[in-house]
Amino acid sequence: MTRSGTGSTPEALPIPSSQLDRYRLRLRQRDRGTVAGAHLIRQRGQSLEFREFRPYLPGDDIRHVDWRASARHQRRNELVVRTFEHEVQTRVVISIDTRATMQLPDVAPKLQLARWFAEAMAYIAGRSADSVALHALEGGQVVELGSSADRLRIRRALQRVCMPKATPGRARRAREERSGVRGPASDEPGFGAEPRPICTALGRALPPGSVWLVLTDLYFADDAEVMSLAARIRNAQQGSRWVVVVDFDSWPCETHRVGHGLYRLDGPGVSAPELRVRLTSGLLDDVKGRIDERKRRFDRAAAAGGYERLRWTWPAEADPAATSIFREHFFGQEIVRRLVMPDGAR
Amino acid sequence: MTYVFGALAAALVVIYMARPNFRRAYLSAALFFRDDPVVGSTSRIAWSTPHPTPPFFLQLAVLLLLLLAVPHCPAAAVIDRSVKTGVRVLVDRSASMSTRQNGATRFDAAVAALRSVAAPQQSAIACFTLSAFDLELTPIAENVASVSELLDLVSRLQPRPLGTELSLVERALAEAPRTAPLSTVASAKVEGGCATAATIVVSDMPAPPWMERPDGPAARGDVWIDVSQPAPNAGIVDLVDNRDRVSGEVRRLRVVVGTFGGMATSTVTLTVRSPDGSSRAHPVEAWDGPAGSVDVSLPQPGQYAFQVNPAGAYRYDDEARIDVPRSGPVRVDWQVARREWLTRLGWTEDRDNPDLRVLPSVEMLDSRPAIVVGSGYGPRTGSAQPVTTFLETSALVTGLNLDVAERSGMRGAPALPPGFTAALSGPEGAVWIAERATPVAAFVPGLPLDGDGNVARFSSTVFLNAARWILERRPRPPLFTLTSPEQPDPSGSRIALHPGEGNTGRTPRSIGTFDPRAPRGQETERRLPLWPWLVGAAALVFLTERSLALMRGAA
Repeated sequence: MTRSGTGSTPEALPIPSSQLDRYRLRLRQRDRGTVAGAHLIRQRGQSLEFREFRPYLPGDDIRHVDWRASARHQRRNELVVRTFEHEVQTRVVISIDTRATMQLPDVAPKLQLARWFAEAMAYIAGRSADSVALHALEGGQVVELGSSADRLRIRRALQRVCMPKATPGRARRAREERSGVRGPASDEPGFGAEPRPICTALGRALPPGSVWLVLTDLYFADDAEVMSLAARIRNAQQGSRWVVVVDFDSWPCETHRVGHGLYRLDGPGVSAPELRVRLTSGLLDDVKGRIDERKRRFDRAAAAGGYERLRWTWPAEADPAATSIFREHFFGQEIVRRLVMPDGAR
Repeated sequence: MTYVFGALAAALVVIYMARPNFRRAYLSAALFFRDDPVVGSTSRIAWSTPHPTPPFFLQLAVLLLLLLAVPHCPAAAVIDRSVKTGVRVLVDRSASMSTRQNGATRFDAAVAALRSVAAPQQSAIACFTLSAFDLELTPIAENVASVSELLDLVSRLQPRPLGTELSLVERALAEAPRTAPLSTVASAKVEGGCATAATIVVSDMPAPPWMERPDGPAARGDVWIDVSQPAPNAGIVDLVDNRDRVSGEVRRLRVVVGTFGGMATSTVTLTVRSPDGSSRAHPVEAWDGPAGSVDVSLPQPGQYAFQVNPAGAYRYDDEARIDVPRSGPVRVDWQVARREWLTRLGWTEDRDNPDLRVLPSVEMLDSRPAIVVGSGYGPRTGSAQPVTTFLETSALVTGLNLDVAERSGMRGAPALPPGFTAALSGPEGAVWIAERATPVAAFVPGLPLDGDGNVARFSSTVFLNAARWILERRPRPPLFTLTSPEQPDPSGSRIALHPGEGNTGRTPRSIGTFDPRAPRGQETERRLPLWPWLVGAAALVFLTERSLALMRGAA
């Protein structure tokens, strides 16, 4: 295991390994030896430690039924199964949205914080001997990291994932942006107009029981793309996968920097003619409400029991520090604490 | 024009209201604005208050500056408070300016005074005009740009052994063009000379009373600087000759000597050098205050030189030379009878160049002085003949016994020749003596009668009065001449005894303080046109706006 420092490139996570070493995936405490459904959890080692009895549920391994305990159980017609603490290897897949909206804002690009988040999670998971795969949400490319805690390797993998490449989908989108006409997105490897089973490369990288982290701002060009992603997330949860969408929300920062007045708005997804608007508090509130509404619809479409959405919000400052944003959310956000925890904490 | 620029400014505001400046913003959530009401997505017209952008303000500033530049706009001109003044300098260079005081001449003091007065005000002086005065007012230089150049020009001047004619200065100050202070040197030169607003007179004479008249030069800001300081001096102040009234012979000369500035009178002597080379020192006597005199006999013709000792601070009155002409008998062209009178009177006959002609009739008169002798005194009439006309002020009647004329029964000339004025006449045109001013002539009834009676004496007196009256009017050669602007240098009997030049004891009196920025009546405020500056500023702002627009366009 190679432990590298924070690195010198600007894309490198500005958190020393010594600080990350104090964390490990909390997911290992969450997953028990007995799980519902068809979870395929590979056991590591033979020393299973008894944890508790619980009522039998359909799908439980019949071998774990404690007949003696069932006889003593108050409900005569109910079986009791024995549960154990398992040393399991968690599979973590981190999907990064690399679209142009993630390149903004310039002062603290969302993609950069997504890469830092992925680097930190991959390192902590690797340190915990868990398996990690990186995935480009837009391009569909999956890069396997295994249980590596080599930060240099992680960064190189992130660089490959986040490297823009002229995929047919990107080329088509570019054409659409120039022409202003948007066609169906059915040829995208990761997303489609219709929810599809996870049979693609991402599907293969996401075995049941794995954790799927989706790093995105959900600023998709139209609802079809959003709903497509939501459907896939909902699908993924059927395999006892825990899906966490990290929502990078730079709205406060960007609107604070722009202020009010007459503007020619430009940005990803906007094509000629330019948007000439009078930015007012009312308009900004309206648009923000529209975005939030889309996200709520996304949540409703994506939630199926194993879905969480973390919101990383950029402060309403003109020049916020990306490092501060990362530290505030990675180490201070409650929901992140559900992903990682300091050693010794329960 | 005001309305045009005003309309342009209003149009600019309207344009900016209709075509507001859209700033560009790049938002990651820009696509969510696609469904919002878009301002001017198809048209750039969007009524709004002008956005405070630099181009708007710059363009508005251009129009406002042009608006202000409209000539009849009240703000188009300002009163120039920082004007420059053209200064005229009149420097006294008369003989008295050579007087030495405190180890230097008064002319040196004048240069120093000019420096002290003008140098501190250099920034407020556009140009100088330099003139010098003594017996004449001489322009020296115009458009002198700096004090140093002025002082250099003044230093090149030297006092001349001439008098001081202050009336020239008075006339120059009264006639000096009173222009407003000048805004720039250039404007002064454009007008072809240094238009002056103030005059500085530097002299060793006290400021004359006319300087301080209510509307005099001092009230207009002119300055009189008296650089004199009392200095001991003794010198010749006058030469008064004593001549024979008929022959013109110079017999005596009174040399008047004055002392000034505390010079002691007791030690002053006058040395007289005669034509024969002999010299004699005479103590100056008959002091009447600071002036004493010496009566000098002039026994022979020739040049006499007078030297005052001790010499004082002023040198041109220390000595004087006179030429005493050789005198001779009266030359007469005697055209009447009884020529024995020539011998009796000691005259000589000279028909070509006579001092006096004695003619029998008025027809023989010409331009030369003459006595016209009538046909003679008539016989006694036996009755009194009153004098009706008596020209009391005429020298022709001096010494006449009018009783003789009235009672002796001698008749005057029956008719007065034309052009003559009777000095003594009776009724019925009887004239005993008459005069004519030009050409000089006198009329008498007849030649002197023989005998010793009253009538003979009366007739002799009449004739001699007429002869003396005419001979006194002969031009007499002067004993000396004064230096003049044409001949300023003393030489021989041309001396520099100009009145008052040697008076070194006057109390100095200056008037006025030179301040070129001081208001000078209504003419001193000069309204300068502001519009060229406004148009220039507008052009500069316009250039800046265009440059910014070009840079933004390139970006």
